[in-house]
Amino acid sequence: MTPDIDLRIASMVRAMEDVVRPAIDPLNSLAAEQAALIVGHLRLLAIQWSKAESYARTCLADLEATLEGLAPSGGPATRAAAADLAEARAPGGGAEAHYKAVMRATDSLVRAAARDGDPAFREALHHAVLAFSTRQSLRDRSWFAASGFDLNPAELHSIANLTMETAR
Amino acid sequence: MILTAETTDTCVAIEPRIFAILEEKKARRLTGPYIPRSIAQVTASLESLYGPGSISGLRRMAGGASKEQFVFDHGGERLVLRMDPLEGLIETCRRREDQVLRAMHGVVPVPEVRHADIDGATFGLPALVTTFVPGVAKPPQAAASVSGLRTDFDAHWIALLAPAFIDNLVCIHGFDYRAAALPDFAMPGGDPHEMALRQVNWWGKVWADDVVDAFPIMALAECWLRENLPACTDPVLVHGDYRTGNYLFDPAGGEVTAILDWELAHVGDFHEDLAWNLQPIFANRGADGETMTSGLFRRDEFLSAYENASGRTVDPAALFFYDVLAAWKCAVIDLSSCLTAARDGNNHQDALLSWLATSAHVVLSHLTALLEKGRH
Repeated sequence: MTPDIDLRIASMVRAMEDVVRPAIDPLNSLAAEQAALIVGHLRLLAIQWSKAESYARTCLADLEATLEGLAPSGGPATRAAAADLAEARAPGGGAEAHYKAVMRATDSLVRAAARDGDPAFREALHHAVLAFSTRQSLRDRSWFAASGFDLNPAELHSIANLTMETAR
Repeated sequence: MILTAETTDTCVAIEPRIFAILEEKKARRLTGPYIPRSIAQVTASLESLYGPGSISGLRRMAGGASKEQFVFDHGGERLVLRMDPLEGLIETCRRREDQVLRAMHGVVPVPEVRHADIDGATFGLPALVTTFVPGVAKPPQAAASVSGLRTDFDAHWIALLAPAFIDNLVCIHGFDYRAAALPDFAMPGGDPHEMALRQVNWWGKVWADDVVDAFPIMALAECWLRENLPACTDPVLVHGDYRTGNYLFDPAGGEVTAILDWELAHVGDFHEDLAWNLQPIFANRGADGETMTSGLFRRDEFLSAYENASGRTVDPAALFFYDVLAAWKCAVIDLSSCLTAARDGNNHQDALLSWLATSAHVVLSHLTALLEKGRH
């Protein structure tokens, strides 16, 4: 584990900032922009890497809680998508892969319910998806805040606080 | 209100040329990874076009998240070469871009097309050669992020650029596209909902073809869009990406010298360009902390200025639909093609694409808020 990941990322940032970027031909604007992006990515990775597993568990736990209590009902498409979702929710694999699998199955259920879901179920599903997306988009904005795209940074959480306890 | 609709399993009411290029991309992406063209390779291609020793001053340009861009001199002119990589942020058609640039010449300031390599016979992949238009995309010393996002205009620059921003948009929307040579652009049919449906089908196909990770809110948005298509009784030429970052201006006097990035142009509803420009991802904070669309206008100022200059009336319901469409389209781009191009190594700016994709969650936040509002 030694040298650790933080040290190696910091070393790469310093090399880029102190050696590589100053050496780039000022007329080579593409190379200058790419070098700046590499530094940006490295700084974001430095903030995120050690929290990635915990963050994925937080997202997964919220999604699982969102789906609890939903009772899919409808025609063949809805029933098949619901069965796929139940399978995706079965424990297993890493948190990030599991979260993405459940997201994918939930997405399919939304599309299937649009075809032949019972109205009451569709309403409940849409309400749940919107509520989850409200929370998740805030989390994801916080997770990527350092990229600087957010117009409202005061709304965001620190990555350190994006834990299971702050998920809901 | 219940949000229901069929998803995009078929390609009804999609523009034929758009459908064709999206299908071509699926085959082309398998030939990667993409190796950025060297100066020697580009020189050879240009000399095969213009003759040995006929070009000089060739160098790469920055920007262009979906094209490789070079500037060079030939025949006493400075020219720009825009070449397709295997995959980009968006998949668009050089033939349509050629047609619309020629059509808009003399209507609004645009680069002039000098050569269109539609099938890549000269450059290996489709490319356009246009005149080089001097100008800057942001004021000297002003802050800005990639692709012109978060450009910081002070009051001096706002006073110079905001009126021209409106005037040029009104000129584009007032252009008589029916009389122009735009053979690859689908014209309006008989169904007034077709303008909106074509866009949902276009970007629904992109999402279906290129999705990397699913987001249930994207499915919900697509359902809502299909259920709420507005009628369009006054189709116009839509620029498709009209915002700060996609025009150049004289850094001394502020005159707009070129409107750029016409590759998403199509015939559609004028609300589409308005809603696109109003997306929070293209906004910045003004000196008083207010949200400034494209860094130039408060929302209401922008809409009233457009109404006054165009004589059109903004329909709040249509604007709301196109607000949802614009947010969904931004998310489609950021979370599908942008990532597949980077994942597959099929672009010359993979690092930029994967960086831009991190902005998707700002867009999803806006999209979610809109859909929540649309339920009530």
